[in-house]
Amino acid sequence: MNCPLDTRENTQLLLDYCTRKLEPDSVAILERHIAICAACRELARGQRAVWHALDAWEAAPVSADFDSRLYRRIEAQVPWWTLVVRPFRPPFRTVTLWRSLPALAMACLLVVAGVVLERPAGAPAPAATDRAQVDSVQPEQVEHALDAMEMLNEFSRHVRTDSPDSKL
Amino acid sequence: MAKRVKTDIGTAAAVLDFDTELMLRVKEGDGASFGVLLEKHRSSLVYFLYRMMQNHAVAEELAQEVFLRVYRSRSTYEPTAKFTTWMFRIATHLALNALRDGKNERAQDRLDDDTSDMPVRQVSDRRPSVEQSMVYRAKLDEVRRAIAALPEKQRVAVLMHKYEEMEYSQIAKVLSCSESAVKSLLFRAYETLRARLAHMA
Amino acid sequence: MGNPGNPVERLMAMPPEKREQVLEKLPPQQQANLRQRLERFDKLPAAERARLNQMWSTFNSLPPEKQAIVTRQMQAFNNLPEARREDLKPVLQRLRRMPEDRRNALLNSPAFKDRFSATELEMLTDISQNYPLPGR
Ligand SMILES: [Zn+2]
Repeated sequence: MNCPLDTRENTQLLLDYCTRKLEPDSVAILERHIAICAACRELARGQRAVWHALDAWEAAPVSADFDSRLYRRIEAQVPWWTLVVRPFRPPFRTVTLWRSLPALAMACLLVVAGVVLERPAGAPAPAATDRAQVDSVQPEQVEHALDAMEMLNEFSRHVRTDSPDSKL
Repeated sequence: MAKRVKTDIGTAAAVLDFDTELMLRVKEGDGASFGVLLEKHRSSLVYFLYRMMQNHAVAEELAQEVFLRVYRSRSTYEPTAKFTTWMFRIATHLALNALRDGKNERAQDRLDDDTSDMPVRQVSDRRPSVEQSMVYRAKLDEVRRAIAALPEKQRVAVLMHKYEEMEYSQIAKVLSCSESAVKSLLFRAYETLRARLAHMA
Repeated sequence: MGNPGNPVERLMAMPPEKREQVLEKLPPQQQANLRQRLERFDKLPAAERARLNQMWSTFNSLPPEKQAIVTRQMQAFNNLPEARREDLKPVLQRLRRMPEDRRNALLNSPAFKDRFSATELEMLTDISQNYPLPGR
């Protein structure tokens, strides 16, 4: 290959290479070049060093009262009841929202709706609503779910240190 | 007509984005979904603004303003872009204005003090020596000064590329410029940073 | 944002007499304790409740063996001395955001091995692998 340093556009290849964003086949070609080109080798070394240096800069945690301050500001502007929501969204509301989108979009939404924010990548989507389940809940399952939520809540407070104390 | 087509494309693209779905729920009056968006993006937004402004209090103030604007625009919200693109566009706009207003002018003077906010890394059974933590602080200080010295747009591009791990296309949308302009900004920024920081390897 | 899969939400959604039937299956002391916990849960602000539901769904979507690992390590993390937790926190959050290959590279780096004890490394690895933050 020509030396990527010859044109600015191609130099981007080296940056992508150092940030591991480059496609594997391009990596192979570039690595063959780097092996024989001192200038590219030096740039790659420098770029990696910059990357590591930037890694060291961690931001301080968000203040514990960030949310409460924000909600106070929001409440000062809007009536409080617009913030109060029903924990159970009646099914027809969901349907109305979805119906307003094109069919393709709806198909995507059905997938997306099963995906939960903090769901680990690659984990299977939680089962869709099963009305039959509602009647078969066991008290031990309830206790177990509460245990899990308490633990997760404590963990999330610790990794954030910026949430108001939960009353759970 | 043209507008209609644009909206459809925007909607189709944004549908893949769960944040957009949440924001549409906020638009419908669902405050809990706003809480989820806040939870999901609070830290990365504050960190981005902190690295932009290099002052924690100013960063939080600006982040509050971003979320407030997001909430205020809920009724007119249209999913024409990815939610995070929209959010970072607001944040960048506010940060650049604040920098021009000199809101963080004390921050530059406080670079040295401010590192004391950072937890000094230590292993429970092996505390770092005073010397080690001084070396660490000095390095951190060098990084912060190098970033602060970058021209504004280059700084935004680097922070989004490095810490937010955004694609060139998304950075381009946040900065309202072409992808090749973003690559050029990053090229120049990293060139400067290599000159200043490569010795730290 | 109610979660139909969460047993707690399923119980709360039941008509009172059906809910009683479920609770009455427990011995009195355990029953009283659970009622108290449910009452606390029910009093939470909606946003907080939605957040808890979300975390539960994520956790619940893991296979049982991963749930066990996450539980063990999270409890260990929650029980660390505060100062130590503060040190680990930013690192853990960064690891949870990283793609797998970068995370592994970092976790296996000499710098990391130098900075954290073996138990801590295991904690960082287990939590970030099994309970990562979603990509942007
Ligand atoms: Zn070359």
